[in-house]
Amino acid sequence: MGPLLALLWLGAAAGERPLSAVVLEVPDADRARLSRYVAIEPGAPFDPEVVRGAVERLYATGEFADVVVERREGADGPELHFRPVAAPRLARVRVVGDRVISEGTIRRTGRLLAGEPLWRDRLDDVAQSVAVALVARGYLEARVTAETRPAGALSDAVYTIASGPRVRVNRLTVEGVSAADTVALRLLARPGLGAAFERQAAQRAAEKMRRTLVDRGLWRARVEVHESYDPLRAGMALAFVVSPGPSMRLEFEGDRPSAGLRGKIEALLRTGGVGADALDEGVERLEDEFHRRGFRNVSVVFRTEPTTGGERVVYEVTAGALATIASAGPAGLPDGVVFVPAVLPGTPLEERRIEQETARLKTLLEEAGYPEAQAEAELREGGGAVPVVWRALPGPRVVVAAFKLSTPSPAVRSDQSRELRTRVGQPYRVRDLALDRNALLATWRNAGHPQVTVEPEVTFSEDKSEASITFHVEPGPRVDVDRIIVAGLTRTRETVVRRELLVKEGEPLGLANLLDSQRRLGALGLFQRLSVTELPGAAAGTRSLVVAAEEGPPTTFAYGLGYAEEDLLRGSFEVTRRNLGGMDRTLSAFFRASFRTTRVFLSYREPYLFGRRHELFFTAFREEEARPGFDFTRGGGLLQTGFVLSPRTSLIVRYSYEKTNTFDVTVPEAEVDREFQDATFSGPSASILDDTRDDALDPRRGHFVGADLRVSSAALGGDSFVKASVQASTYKRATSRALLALSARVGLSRAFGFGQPTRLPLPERFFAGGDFSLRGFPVDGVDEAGGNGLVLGSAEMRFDLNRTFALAAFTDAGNVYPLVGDIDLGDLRASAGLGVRYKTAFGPLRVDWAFKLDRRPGESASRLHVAVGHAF
Amino acid sequence: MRSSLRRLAMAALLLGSARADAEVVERIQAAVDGQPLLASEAKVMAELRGFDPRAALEALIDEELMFREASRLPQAAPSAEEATRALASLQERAGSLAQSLPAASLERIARREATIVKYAGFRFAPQVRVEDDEVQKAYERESAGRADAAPFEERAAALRAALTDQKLGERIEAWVKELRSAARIRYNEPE
Repeated sequence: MGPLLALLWLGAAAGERPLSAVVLEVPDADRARLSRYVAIEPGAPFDPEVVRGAVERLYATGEFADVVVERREGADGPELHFRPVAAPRLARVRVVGDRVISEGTIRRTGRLLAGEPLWRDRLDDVAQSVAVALVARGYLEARVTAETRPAGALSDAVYTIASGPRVRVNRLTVEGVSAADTVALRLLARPGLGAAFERQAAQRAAEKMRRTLVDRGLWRARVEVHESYDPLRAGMALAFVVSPGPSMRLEFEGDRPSAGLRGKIEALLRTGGVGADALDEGVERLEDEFHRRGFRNVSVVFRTEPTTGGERVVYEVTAGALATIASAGPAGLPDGVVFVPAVLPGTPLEERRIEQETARLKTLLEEAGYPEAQAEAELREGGGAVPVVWRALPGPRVVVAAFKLSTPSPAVRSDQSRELRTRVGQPYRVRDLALDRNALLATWRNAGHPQVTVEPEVTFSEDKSEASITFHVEPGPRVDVDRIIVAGLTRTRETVVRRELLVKEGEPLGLANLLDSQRRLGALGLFQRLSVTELPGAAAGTRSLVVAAEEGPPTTFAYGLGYAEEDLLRGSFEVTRRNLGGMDRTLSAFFRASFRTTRVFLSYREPYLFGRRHELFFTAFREEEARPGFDFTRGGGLLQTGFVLSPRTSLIVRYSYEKTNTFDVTVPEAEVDREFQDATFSGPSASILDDTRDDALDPRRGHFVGADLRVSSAALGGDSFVKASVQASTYKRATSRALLALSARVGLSRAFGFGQPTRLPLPERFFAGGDFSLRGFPVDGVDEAGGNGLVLGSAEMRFDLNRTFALAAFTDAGNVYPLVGDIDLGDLRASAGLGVRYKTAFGPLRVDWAFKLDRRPGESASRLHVAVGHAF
Repeated sequence: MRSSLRRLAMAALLLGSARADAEVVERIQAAVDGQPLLASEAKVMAELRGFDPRAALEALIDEELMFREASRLPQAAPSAEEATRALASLQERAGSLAQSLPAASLERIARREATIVKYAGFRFAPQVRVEDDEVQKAYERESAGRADAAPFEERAAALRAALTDQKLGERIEAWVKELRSAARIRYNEPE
């Protein structure tokens, strides 16, 4: 029995002896990455809780279906072996059975990515989605099952499809309307006879029929689709059952609302089917309008009554007496409080505005340190000229006499008090108390105390003139980050995710850091879905975080069709490959062609430089352009990076090398001296931008200032010249519907290496004229030879007609000058004009007609431009 | 001779298994909505409740579903005192078995039970009503044909409590069924 006893002794004592080895049975390439999740060192005792945590963390990576932990007796003592069992991973999708849907469609429907874990529930979810998609296409009896089949180291997702017959419409009727209407509505019926049955198409057709009937005045029309399925024939009989309802019209009695509101109420009743909600909303809108006009006691009732051939809805409006504001002013204001009512004498008396001003006065008093302030508006009933007095009832003024933070442990940040709004000697404000409480909660939560409580205690003096405030902070237990587990990555390297995280292992689990980390990861643009969940940590007071990401497609395509004055019709195509090497690097190729221009760009983006988040772009390009005075081809490359100096200011620095060949030059030969030579730009350039516009495509306020400096040097292999330009635009609202936009642009350049001032190579010069500068001229039309100097200014008034259309009136002035020394502000060319804008999601579509104010012999009088985007 | 051979064979068997076999100390038996359920937990559940391994796993799955749902309600979180009481109650129920089970597992189970019970009290208890005639009927069933039956007034409170528990149990069962139907449960087969 000796050996048996020894075995028993070994078995009993194994749990107490330190582990001699901890082995992670995974491929070598994954060992370092996964070992951080095991976190058990040889020499440590066997602890079931620690083992449990390790298993949970390994499982959280999403790579394993199981993690088997074995305790084995090794030569040097007990060993712990972690044997993860890999989850089946997707190799490809296969379709078996009825091939009514392609593998690609299944992959897209289920968002299946190569290499992702193939859990059973995932497979079943996709099978269900595929079945639903097939039913929508008319395969009403479709059955889809899923299974995995080994495919080398991976697994195929095999979908077995029994589609059943595709149901077709074998009978189509429209019921409930006259013969003539039946014929008209039948034209709208979908799917048609013999077509595959698609329920959504039938529902859409029913809605279209209903809208057609509503447009004809049958506001209560309803159309229902009745289906009758014949499984023997795989046929569907569709009946569009129409309840047309009576012919309706809207009338008003009594005091008449504005034409615009009448139209809106009619539209409301039509879309709402003359339902109770629509009728009530009509009452509210009428009351609102009359209140705004000063009819305080307006009464609106409605009724529906039959007429010959239908029904009518009648709104009876009794406006009552008109009230206007005779005078408006405050009373009882304490010293130091200024209140100027935002309503003017002579304007209609609107109760809602009066209430708003009353609330505003109360807030002003509270801000001034009167926490018990009340305010009321005194005005009589009835119409006519009504004086309005806002009476302040401030109560006692309270000042903060003492303020302290009470925490059981030292404050998280020593300067915390300085960031709070409550101050000794300042007025006591309840709003400040609430804001400070929120600030303290946020600070402590971000220091790893998620259960912090902050309770303000306020003690008033006897005469209520002073308040002593104490914030009692109970931090609660601190939670630190144990491990961070990254899950779901197939292409992206873990480094890319970890470097964006502001929460770090071993540091407090801060709420703001967690949210910022999620934001930063989302901003990478690499992931379709992102989640951060918590697991219990290995030690008390710790949590492990699981960052689970679903990668998006690595390759995207974009294409476009457009119009520009100089290019006429143009098309573009771009393909972008993201996440090269799993390191968030991007390579994109862009191609654009028109009747006059061809451009090809190849661009590479490196997101991290020297271990810091700093983007670097390398672009190689080639372009050909036919300009009015010459044609050119240009090729080269540039290296560019940017610095964010402030939230609205950025600096971009570049090094460029470009070689330009000009040909087909039509400008007079005297204007062109060295321009027949090839031009080469080689040198640094920099741009600084300050942009406070609210919208880059359609700005309503703010300004844009940009300055650009380019230096080309013979020492670097290029021609020697310097070129600088500054552009500034500002946008200010003049009225609620009118906007004033102003812009100025100055360009200066100089060539070096010649005995006398010389113009730059032709393609490098400044030009003016066209849809984005002097609009009375064609593109480059001010001087086709261009020049070293440019001055441009524009002013434009933009009037919104409605949400979609706007009008503009503008004037442009400017000129190009052969040399900088030739700049003469007395020699500016000018044009003025009118324009129409149609607002789209891509910016306004603009039609401008401009005429020259100083037309010279041989010049056209005016010019029409069509473009996308504002001129500035 | 035969008994010696038998003992030798047993020892050889045991020795052989000790050299070649490893003891599986942990693995994932199932996953509920991506959350792993470990073999060690199922083992504790089996020993505490006297279930066979499969029943213990299913009970663990039910508790996990209920606990996750209950945890969404901040009011269901047990206070430190409630957690301590729950642990003491669990240890009392487990008796001598509690000494051999991992303390951390017992704490976890106790906290989980306390959360679920508190949540059930918030959510389901207000919905449970026992009418007077139900109590009457229960009394009549209980006392049917029994000459020594206690009077109704003596039994009413206990019967009402039993009926309340029964109805609460039915609601909880329906709740678990609903949770299960919406959950994704994956089992790992034994190796």
